[in-house]
Amino acid sequence: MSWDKERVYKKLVDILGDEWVSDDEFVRFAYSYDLSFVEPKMPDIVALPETVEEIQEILKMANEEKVPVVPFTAGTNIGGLCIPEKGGIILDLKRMNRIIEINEEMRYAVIEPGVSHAQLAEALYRKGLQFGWPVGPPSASVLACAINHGIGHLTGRYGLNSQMITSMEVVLPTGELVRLGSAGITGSWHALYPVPRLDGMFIGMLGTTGIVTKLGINVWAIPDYRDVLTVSAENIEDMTSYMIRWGRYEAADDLTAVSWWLAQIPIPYPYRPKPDDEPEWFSYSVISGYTEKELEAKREMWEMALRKEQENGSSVKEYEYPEEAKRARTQLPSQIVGSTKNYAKSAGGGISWPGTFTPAPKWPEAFNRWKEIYIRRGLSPSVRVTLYRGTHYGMLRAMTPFDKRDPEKIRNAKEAIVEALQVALDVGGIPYKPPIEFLEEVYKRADPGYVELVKRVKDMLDPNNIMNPGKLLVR
Amino acid sequence: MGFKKLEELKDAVYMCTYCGTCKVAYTYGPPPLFAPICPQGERFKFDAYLGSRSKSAMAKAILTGATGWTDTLVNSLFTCNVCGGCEYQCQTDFKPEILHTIEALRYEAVKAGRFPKEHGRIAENVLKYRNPYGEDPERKEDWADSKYEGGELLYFVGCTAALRRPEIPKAAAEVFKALGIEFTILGKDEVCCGSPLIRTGQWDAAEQIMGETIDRIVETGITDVVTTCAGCYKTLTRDYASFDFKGYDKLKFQHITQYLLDKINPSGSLGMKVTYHDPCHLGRQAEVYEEPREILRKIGAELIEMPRNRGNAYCCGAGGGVKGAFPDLALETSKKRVEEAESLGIEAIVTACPFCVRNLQDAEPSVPVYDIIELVRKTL
Repeated sequence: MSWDKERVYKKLVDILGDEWVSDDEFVRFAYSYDLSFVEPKMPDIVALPETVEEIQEILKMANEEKVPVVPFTAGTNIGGLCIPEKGGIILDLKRMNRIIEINEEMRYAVIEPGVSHAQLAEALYRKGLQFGWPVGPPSASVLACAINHGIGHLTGRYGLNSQMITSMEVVLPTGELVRLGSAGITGSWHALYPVPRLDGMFIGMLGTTGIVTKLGINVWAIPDYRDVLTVSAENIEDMTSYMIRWGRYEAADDLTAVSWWLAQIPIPYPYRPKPDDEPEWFSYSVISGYTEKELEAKREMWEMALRKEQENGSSVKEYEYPEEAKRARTQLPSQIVGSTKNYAKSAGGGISWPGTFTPAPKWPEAFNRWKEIYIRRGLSPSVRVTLYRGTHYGMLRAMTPFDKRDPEKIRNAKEAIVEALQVALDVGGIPYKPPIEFLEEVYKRADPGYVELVKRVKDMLDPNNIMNPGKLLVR
Repeated sequence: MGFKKLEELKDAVYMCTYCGTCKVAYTYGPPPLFAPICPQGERFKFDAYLGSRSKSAMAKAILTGATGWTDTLVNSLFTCNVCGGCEYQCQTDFKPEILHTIEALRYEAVKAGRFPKEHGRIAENVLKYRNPYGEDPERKEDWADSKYEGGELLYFVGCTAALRRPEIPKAAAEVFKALGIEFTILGKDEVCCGSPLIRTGQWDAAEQIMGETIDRIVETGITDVVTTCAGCYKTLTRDYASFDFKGYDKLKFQHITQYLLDKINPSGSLGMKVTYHDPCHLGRQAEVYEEPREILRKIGAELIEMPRNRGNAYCCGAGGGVKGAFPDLALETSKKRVEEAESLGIEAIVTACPFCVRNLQDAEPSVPVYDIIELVRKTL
């Protein structure tokens, strides 16, 4: 440690008061690990600011002292993103939990980092609105998920959560405050267009370029009518072909398929074979409308897509989901779907993933290779694929439970995940919310110009490399 | 048999994924419910205090030796109300053992000498006087206007009701009499159920009196036991069940709301707009949610629910030894609960636990706080 902990601690207390600063060993321990395989590391100090001004003061001080700062909201990501690689200060932002505005006419909301999906869902529902709810814990941060390219449900037609950002406010690593998008020009939080997309310097950057203190996000009306259309297929090839055909209509709010192993509650751990008489893939599509007629028109489109697949000899066919499972597709956020009940129940506390955006036509190749890797390592190939914005984004990931009591099992899961990521990269996929182990693989293959530009942006914004140092790997 | 030690709970502790679902109350609805659920987490904010996730971290820290009994760990451990609000949210296999883990951690802390001195005094009092308040056991009969013996129903009054909230046993006695139910009390021979000791990790002291508690009941020859205390009810039905006390298996315990449900005719005309506060020990921890509500309906109360009700009820702030060791925190929490109740425009707050009554009253609400039995009495 090259910085004076005692002095930094005192300065933090001067800014926040001693109630909101701690270097207690247990406090630091509680912030040293998450669900993932990422090796625990202790912060030196944990601090809980409540205002933007306090964050500005803290970052100015941290720059003077050259002390690492890691932004933290709920600690629920499964990529170890808030585990402090170089120690320093964890800034827990949960006290900043105001929903500043919900604009019903323009359909956007402005939120602080500590606003959870549960909190936003309650507030939006009162106005007949919804967001793209991820299947994460309801206590997870909306802002953190969005700026890290998290995915959502029920709004898949419109894209990822990061594509729903309309404006943002950021405290730069050097303490200056900036607003981006329309909020930075007129004070209205409705759009990122048509201005320079400077917001990109803070999205997908894993908290290494500043602290986003306010975020504008699109929200949508809750439709009057909904249905869930479900099918099965014997293999990933047939399922992919069906999803691409059906997805091109951009009619489904959510178009997802899961492998047999992910459909089990809990995911079999360790691996167990699928019974021969059960399909390997299941898919659900959530459709919605404002009239029965609109819903019926979408059903017709779906039936047409399904029929054409079947005419081509596909094994895809209608498959009735249990009512409870159907409801779970639309009743979001959800403690059950969104928690780790399915993902890690009985497995020993660990959960990680190779989470990627992989072109849909490449899903079969990736899945079949993932399946070999996972089964070889005694893990279930519990894979999910989802289409966003029609067929534009193909999400491919494998929820991977493991037993955290056994270092060997952690290592096994980590190696399986990294191996799976290498496969995804082979076929054109890219990881989201990546732990360092993923970025090592990414940078091996990335265009040198891209890596150099990431470095330049990082250096320009964070000259002393205080923000979540090590996480972006380039510095 | 007996209390589960921390080491025995290790497998369950490692079922916590650290997902954080335990941090807030949430249900889909519609409409959705979102609300704070962890009183100590609301107060201290650090993740080291919030929900069952912090308690699994604590257990891991102690089991692996990652940390010792740091000041914050001890403070977090003992400012927890052991209310089970986090447990209700949890969806992992840690869920059934969350409260056991908290109490097992407290047991280890007590052994390490790292516990609030106020809790130590409770144990001294129970061991010496058989009640946590250090009162002369004779005073347990102060509320009673007669001997109350010979009935086929044993009314286990509990220390808090007998010694601090006499209006509760008085009301219960009047209700029994009005319904023609003969009952027996143990009076000065009634021994504390041990709840305050079990919740605060003082298991050695608890085990010294638990057998005696059951012996006094068994000696009466009565098998039907009713209590007005949520804490006694939970302890006698849940904690004692993991022991092998002679005669225990013949006993049938009921909370008074369960006992009275089919004995009260739906002819009441209370005509009062009330809300019902679920005691943690009776609701989440013993799953008695509907009987009190049904009784309120039967006596003619207009029941208006708080947003946080049943499994999502916010603790009154008293439980887990917090009232004794951290009275300011207990009061801060009860004020939040009272605010939630008052926002409904009700005329009274009703609950079914003497400890909740006391702590909610301490928050000085603008409306009276009643134990449910007091309202039942008003209508008979």
